[in-house]
Order: sequence, then C-alpha cells, then structure tokens
Amino acid sequence: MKRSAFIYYSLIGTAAVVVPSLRCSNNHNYLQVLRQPKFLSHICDAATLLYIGKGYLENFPLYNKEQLVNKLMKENGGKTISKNTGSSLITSLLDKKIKADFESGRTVVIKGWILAETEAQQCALFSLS
Amino acid sequence: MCTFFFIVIKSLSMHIDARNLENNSVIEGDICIVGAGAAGISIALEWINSPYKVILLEGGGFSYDDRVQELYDGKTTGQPYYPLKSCRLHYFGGTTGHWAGFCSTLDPIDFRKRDWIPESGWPINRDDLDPFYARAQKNLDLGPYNYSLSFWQKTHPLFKPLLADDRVVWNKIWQFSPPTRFGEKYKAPIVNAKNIHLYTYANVTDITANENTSHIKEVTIKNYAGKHHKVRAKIFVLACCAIQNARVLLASDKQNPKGLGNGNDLVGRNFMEHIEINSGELWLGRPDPLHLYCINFGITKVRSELAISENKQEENKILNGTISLTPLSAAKTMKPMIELWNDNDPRKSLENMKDGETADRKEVSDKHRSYQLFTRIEQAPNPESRITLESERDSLGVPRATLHWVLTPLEKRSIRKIHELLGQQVGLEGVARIKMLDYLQDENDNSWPSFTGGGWHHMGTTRMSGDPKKGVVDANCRVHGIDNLFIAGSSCFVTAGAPNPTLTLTALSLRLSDHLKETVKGV
Repeated sequence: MKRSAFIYYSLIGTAAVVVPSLRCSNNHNYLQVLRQPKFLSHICDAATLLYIGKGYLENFPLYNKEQLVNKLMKENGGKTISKNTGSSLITSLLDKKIKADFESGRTVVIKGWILAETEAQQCALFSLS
Repeated sequence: MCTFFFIVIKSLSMHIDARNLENNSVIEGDICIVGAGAAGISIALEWINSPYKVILLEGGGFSYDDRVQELYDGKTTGQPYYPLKSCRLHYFGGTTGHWAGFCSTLDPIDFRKRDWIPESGWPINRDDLDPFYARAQKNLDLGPYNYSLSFWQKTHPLFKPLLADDRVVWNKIWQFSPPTRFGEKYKAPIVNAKNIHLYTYANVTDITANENTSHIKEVTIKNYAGKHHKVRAKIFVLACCAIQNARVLLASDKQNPKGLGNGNDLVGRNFMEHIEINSGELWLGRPDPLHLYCINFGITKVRSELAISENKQEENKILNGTISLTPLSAAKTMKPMIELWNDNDPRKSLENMKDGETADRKEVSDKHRSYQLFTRIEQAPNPESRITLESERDSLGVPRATLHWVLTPLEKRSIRKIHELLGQQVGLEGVARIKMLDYLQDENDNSWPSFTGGGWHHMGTTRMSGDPKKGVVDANCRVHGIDNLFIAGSSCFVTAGAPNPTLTLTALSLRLSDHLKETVKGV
C-alpha cells in the first residue's frame, strides 16, 4: 500500500471509530447536563434532588423520561437544545430558562421547595435516570 | 438630721402604697391613669410639672409579687396560647420589665381599608402618627427616627440586602431598645414629680359611671391587704393592656349588664396577636453572614426583616408580615416559643426562653449557607377572637378573663404566599432557593402546627373607629358614648401590622396625651 493510501485509509478508519464515539459521548453529555439542575445541585445533595424529582412526578404523573427531555430541550429563548449542543451552552440556556420561569411565575412548589418549572423537571429527569 | 431628711424625702415623694392608706379613702385628681406600663408611664411623663394633679394607679408594686401577678391568670381556648398569667408583668413598668426591645413602625398600608381584610382601616393614618413615633423613640431609647435601609447603611457598611430589587420584597428596618425597663428608668421622675401621684397596690376592680353611663364618676381600687378606695377625677385613662382593659370594662357591669362602652358588643372582640412561627428555609448559592438580618441580643441596634411591598400585598390579597433569618444550624437547636414559654410564672418562662437562645448568639457572626425563616404576621381582625369573662373570680372579686384565640385561613394563605413571593425573587436573582415547612405545603390545609406561637402582643380588644358600631373608641381614643373615659395602648389598634406593638402603642399614647391636654382645659 502506498504511503498516501495508508494515511488516507487510516484517517477514514479512525474517523469511523472516533466520530460515532464522539457523538455517543455528546449524547451522553447532554442528558447528564439536562438532569442536573445547576443551582440546586450546588445547595442540595443527590438524595434531595431525587426527592424533589419524585415529588414532581407525583404532581405530574403523566410525564415520562422522553417527554421531560423534549420539554427541557425546547423553547430556550428561541434556541433549541440538540444532542450536539455543548455542555456549557446547555447549562447557559437552561439558566436563562430558569430565570424566565421565575420572572413569569412559572414556578412550582415541590415538597416545599419553590422552584422554577425547568429545574423541577430536571430533578424529575434525574429521578428517572 | 437623718430622720429630718427622711421625712423631707418622704414628703416630696408622691408615691403612696395603697395598702397603707386608711380603708375607704377617697383620692381625687384631675386625671386618673389606670396602669403604669409603657402606655401609662409615657402619658404620666408628659404631665410632669403641669398644673394638673395626675393620679397614676399601679396594681402591683415596684417588683414582682406573685399574689398580684396571679390576678392576671385566666383560661385560654381555641388556638393554643401561652399561660395568661405570665404573658404580662403586673408591677410598675409593666411588661417592659422583660420585653426584648424590638421596635418598628406600622406601614402606611396598615392604616388603610383593605377590602380583602375584614374590619381593616383605621380612622387615622401613618402621617397622623409620625410626629408621635419620633417622640416615642426617645421614651424607648431608640436611635434616630429613620427606618430606611439607605440611612442605616451609611453607618453600617456591612448591611447588604439579600435582594437587589426591592419592588416585591423590601427590607423593613427594626430598631432595638436597650431594652428600656420603664420601671427602672422612669421610677425616679415619676415619684419625684410633685403633681404625679403614684399609687401602688391599687388594682382597679370597678368603674362607676353616672346613671346613663355617659360619664365616669369614680373607680374602685382594691388590694390583697383587704383595703378598698375610690378615685375620682375629671378624666380617666385605662392603660392596663389589651386583655385587662377589656376585662375591667366588661366587669364594670353595675349600670349595664354588658359592661361599660359595650353597647355594640365590641369590647373584648377582635383580639389580635402576631403569629410568630418557623416557616421555611433559605438556601444560599454562596455562604454569607447576612449581617443586615442577623441579631445578637443586647448588642444589635438595627436590623432588617424581609417584607412584601404594598402593591404585592394588594395584588395577592394577603396580610402584612415579615420574615426574619436565623442561621439554620442555630435555629435547629432552638425549641418553639410556645413550648418554652409554658410556665405560669413569667420569671421561669423567661429563663426557659433565654436557655433556648444560647445557640443563636454563638453563631450569629459566621457565614452560613442556610437560614431558618421565621414569619411574624398580623392576624386579620376577627370578632370571634375575643376576651370574655368567666364565672370564676380572682382574689379581689373580679371575674377572670378567658382568651379565645381564633385564626383564619387568610393568615395561613398569607404566610404561604409571602414565601412564594420571596422564593420567586431569590430564584429570579439567582441568590437562593426557599423551602417552605411541611405545614405550608398543602394549600387546602387550614390547620396550624403545634409549634404555632404568638409574640405576646395583645391588640384590638377596644378597637378604634369613627363609627361606634365598629369600634369601642374614637380616633382620639375616647370610649364612644362616655365623655371622660379614654383608653391607651394596643387595645385600640384596628389592625396589627407586622411590627411588635410597643413603639406604636407608645406613639399612640403620646398622641392621646396631647389630646387630653386640650381636653382637660375645657373640663
């Protein structure tokens, strides 16, 4: 095999392995970010997040994992979160969405916690994951 | 020589122990003030060196006496409450003998008619009381008459508000009296004043009016030495506290079986307290000592509580209340006040309270991530929340009081809504989250938890109104239909606001005193 051909096929081969795994990694990452409410994670332990998440699902039992993911990915100040969106951008978009929730009164009371709807849904997703 | 000085001093002193008077004495003066607590003493001080003879009657002596204190004993029904015997102090200086010194003003909205609060609306407004608040500050050894955050931030640079936007949640300033013990501070000025005649052990047991109950002729005083006397004056002022003012009016039933000033069955009704209760937790994104909100008893002169703006109260149709913050780690070790203040002896209950505060003092200056939220809120005027008389009588023959304390769903809904508004604001600014306690979580649950307490603030039992059908006293604190009987103190409050009542009742007493100075000229 000529040297140039070797390099070409090697690159193709590497790409064939790395790109899907990158996509897989991104896919994994976006779910990780979606299910982790940033502010709440700072002040609550995992058990409390789980407790809140279960509480949310008690109040809204029709939500399943897919619906919660869709809900969290939609309507983020005109932008939609996709599976390829980077972690920091997802966090930033969710932050804005949480602020907008508080601003417009889209709040819920779950197990006594006064929360933005978005962060409560993040807890719910966490409890289902 | 010593004997000579003793005689001179005794003759200059205008203090008389009514136990030592010849039985059936008749005492006469221009003005008779019944009760020597914050209200009665504040009025008496205003009359020193005036040309009028002022009779100041105090049921107790200059220190605690259990036989006198026992006269305050009574039953409580309805919402569980503190023992009535230990709620107020029955000696010269009154309950300032053990008060904690919390002071703030009522807000303008507190005086207004609020269509979502039954029986709200004073016949006076905040502007009417402002000059008297300024004077009352001095009686209570408070700082400048200024309750704005920006003013106090000039001298307290660490006063950083929790929220930048104050349009929904604002910072209501409290000032702290040392606390002034009226019995200690004002004993000398009162007993040394030539025209103020202080009678101790002079419990008013009956008020006698003329035949058509339009004018008070005299009051009867008794003590446990078995003596009884009469006091006659041109003007009488009841300043015995909200429970006792109502009690003596109801008990004075010789001419009218309903009692004096009670033609419209209002005396004793609308008893109000501040509901004071743990209500939630504040969890900060970053630990902060929150200097503006913390208190170190005996040291702190000024602090703030979180309050809801007037337009948000109106929009949400809620009562006025405030939230104070205590580091959660300290608060968790503190027992509810209703459990601590459980002894009939006020000295023992006070000791229990002091023991409960120890942890708080240690931790106040540290940075904390979590704080206990403690709500202090007015209760809506409610005719069913009331003082009545029981058949049992005290040792001086006066029927004992019963307090039937009743709360309504509005109080609970208001506490919940206050937390929702605060939760929304801290979330919006990204500084914290709020967690309400369990008892607030079900919107349809109107019950109260076992740790529900009050502030020992008794108000509203002789409420003020321009309309005799709606109030016991008029805007000048004169009992409707009786030309020379006035009432001083928090029993005249129409609504309670959030603040502890001492500053307001002192201001109201000074306003009454000014009015009496004009009135007495024409008598």
